Amino acid sequence: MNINSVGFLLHEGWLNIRRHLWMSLAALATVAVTLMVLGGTTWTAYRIHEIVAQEPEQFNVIDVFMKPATSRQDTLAVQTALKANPLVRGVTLTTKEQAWAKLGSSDPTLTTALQDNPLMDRLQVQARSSNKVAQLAHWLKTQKQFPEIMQVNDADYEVGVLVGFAAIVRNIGLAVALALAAATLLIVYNTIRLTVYSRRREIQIMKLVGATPWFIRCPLIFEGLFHGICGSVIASIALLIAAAQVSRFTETLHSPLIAHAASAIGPVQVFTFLGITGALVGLAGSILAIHRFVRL
Amino acid sequence: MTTTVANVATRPLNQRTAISLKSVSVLYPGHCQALSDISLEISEGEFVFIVGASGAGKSTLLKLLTHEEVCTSGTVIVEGFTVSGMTHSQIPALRRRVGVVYQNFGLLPDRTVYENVAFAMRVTGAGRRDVVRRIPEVLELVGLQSRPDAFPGQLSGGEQQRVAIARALVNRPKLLLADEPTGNLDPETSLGIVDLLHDINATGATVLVATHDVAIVDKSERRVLEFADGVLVRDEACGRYGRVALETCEEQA
Repeated sequence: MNINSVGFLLHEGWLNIRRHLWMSLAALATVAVTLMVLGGTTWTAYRIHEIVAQEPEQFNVIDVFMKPATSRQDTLAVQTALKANPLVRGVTLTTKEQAWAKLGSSDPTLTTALQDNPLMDRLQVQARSSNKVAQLAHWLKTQKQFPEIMQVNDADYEVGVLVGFAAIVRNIGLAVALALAAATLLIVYNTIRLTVYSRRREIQIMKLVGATPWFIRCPLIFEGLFHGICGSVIASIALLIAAAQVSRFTETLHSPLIAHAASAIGPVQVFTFLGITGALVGLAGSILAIHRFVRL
Repeated sequence: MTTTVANVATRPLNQRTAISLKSVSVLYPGHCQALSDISLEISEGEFVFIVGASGAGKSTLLKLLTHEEVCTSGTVIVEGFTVSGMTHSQIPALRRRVGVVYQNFGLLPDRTVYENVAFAMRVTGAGRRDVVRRIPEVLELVGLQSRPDAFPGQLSGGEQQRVAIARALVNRPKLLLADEPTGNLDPETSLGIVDLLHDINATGATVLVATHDVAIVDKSERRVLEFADGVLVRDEACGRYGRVALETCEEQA
């Protein structure tokens, strides 16, 4: 097979796609949706694991929220008392006024709408080591000497929630993606079946004039690959746009967990992973249809 | 059942064999005997008519030669290829040596004359330059050099059959098989097609024509193989559609 033939085969494959454009678009859209679900869930789950697996320093911090009515003096007293604990390395106070000002700078419409500051003073308790975090959190939650404390959020809890969420996302996502992948395979299979039917004269002539089986299969395989790869490009672009939006949203949350987590996943990884998956789905659909409907 | 051959055609000893069948039988499912114990040889450059009623085995014989059908027993050799027992990977090489023309033309309606003929070249791996060089030659041979951009729907039946012949010839096959090539054509056009087949034969190609057309067989007076119920009942070197006295032919020879 020379370069001339490759061009000819690609042209023949393109003619196939044009002949039943709507069916091709349906196949392409299904591939795109499937890969969006698969890529979206896999990415989300991976991202959560990435955050959890980060340098555990940020999980050494326990957030202690004071009751709204607590006076600043009482808060400072609690801060001093906590600093005296041998498990504690340091305690940082973020006053409700500071939190309000920060919220106002990032989302002025919210502070304007609310008018009154509903936030609480927050003490960020840094544990001396990460393996003491659970013990320190338990002590903070169970002690009675500080009635001003309203809520204690430790990293273990946050990590637990995140990991559980990641597992749910991954499992549901994989189940949905598998079901969609099966549907996609069937749609690609049916599209190629239609092509085989509409190209029956060409295939008959190809056989009679002595075209090799690969020459007959190639335009059909190209068609399957086209659906898979184009679908993956659409899915990748949609996912990257969605990821950028989510990232912008999480930045507004000012979460100490998500904001600083670097990610190994970028556009190259998304295009590569979805491209390969899409190509494999397209290839499998076309090979199945060829095996079933083309008698060589 | 024994094969009755009225007059086995003779051929010059120095000619190479294009087609050789030895004790070939084809049995379709349901114990339907399509061909029964056929033995024959056709030399390179011969022009042969295959005649007989519908279901006599004419088309089966042609399909055997391109491996569209496989014989149940016996040996089929075409252009040096032992077709019986051929592997799938060997079939394309055989088919590149054999051109086929059908009654219904089998053209691609959404492609022009040029594209129809070019398609047969491109799918065998021919480059664009070869196509550009070869197609005007072959269109001129079939008399369609002025209609390369016409679509099959814009052509008469005879012209469509000429395109089909051009397509069959474009890869320079050694053997041309025509299954009822004049079946859809009026008598005058039919004679034109047969003249074209004779011209092709004159270039050295072996030509086999399966037909019901009495006029073209009688006018041509070439070798005739007659089949009846899958049996070769007549092989005349210079035959007519029906049985005739041999003297006429011998006189002409």
